[in-house]
Amino acid sequence: MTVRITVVNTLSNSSIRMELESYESVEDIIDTAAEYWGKDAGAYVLRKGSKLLSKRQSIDEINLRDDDIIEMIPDPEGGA
Amino acid sequence: MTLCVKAREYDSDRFDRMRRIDWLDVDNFHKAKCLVVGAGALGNEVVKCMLLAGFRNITLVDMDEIVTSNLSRCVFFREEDGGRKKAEAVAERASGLYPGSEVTPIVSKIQELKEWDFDIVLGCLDNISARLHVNSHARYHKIPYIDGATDGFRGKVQVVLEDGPCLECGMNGSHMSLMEKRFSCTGGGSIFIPKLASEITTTSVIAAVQVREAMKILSGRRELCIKNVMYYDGQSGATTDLEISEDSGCPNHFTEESK
Repeated sequence: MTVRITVVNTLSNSSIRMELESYESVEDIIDTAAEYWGKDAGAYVLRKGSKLLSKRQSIDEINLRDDDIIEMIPDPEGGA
Repeated sequence: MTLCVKAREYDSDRFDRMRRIDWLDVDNFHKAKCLVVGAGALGNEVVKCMLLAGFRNITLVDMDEIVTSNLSRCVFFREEDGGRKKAEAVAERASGLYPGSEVTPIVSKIQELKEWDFDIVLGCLDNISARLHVNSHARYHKIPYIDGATDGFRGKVQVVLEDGPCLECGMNGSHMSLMEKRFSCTGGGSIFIPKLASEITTTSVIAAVQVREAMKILSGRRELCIKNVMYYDGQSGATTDLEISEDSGCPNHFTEESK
């Protein structure tokens, strides 16, 4: 089954629509969104509601539905 | 029976105001053996908060040297410290903040630390590779681990307890790509650490939250801890707590039963 969701870049507040198949994973969303926004240099996590999505979860497993909104959050690395 | 105190006696106890938070176990902070990994911006603020809160026994690991650009964020460093080892400078200056405390500097990579006999670990690192090392060792030795990270006005704190999700459970391919990139930049076994944006106010907020979570754990109030990661946006002042699921494929959760 195909779902169409919105992925929001929390850094720029811009968003993209993404079409996904049920077998695709959280990793696929991150890769696609990062490539779209040219963000290959950093680490990112995806948030749906109050949960951070696990890389191994498939679209089916996280129960994504049409028009769901997923937030892409840059994961800080620094501290020195 | 009515409690009788001498006038102004309460002002002679350094921790009197903390003891008024009835569930804070200040005496346990005195006894706790603590490991702080990293003596940079976060490490300075974490050690400062820990000493003021009554932590007395801190082992501080960092291999790095002080440079002038550290001075905008590191409370224990001075102009004349250029070239000194960060861990040693913090240990020397910190002793004056809380007499009787002991900050033991270890100038080495965290990967070289052999003994993991601690009650709590606070991560103040600047790269994923070292974080994964601390995460796996803390997990193996069943030591609570509180990791902090910043990037400009953004930051995060993750609380890793003996059970439940660990740091690696929340990571994905983008973290691994970044880690590979850091190694490939040097072309050898060492790691390239880029100059990431950083400023003191966000550093202070994240370090303070790290120490506050340590205080909860050492006061036996784990139910009050962040579950599991807190993201902080210093531009808006917003914080968000996100739950992380335990990843059954994570190597840190591998057990005989999961074979």
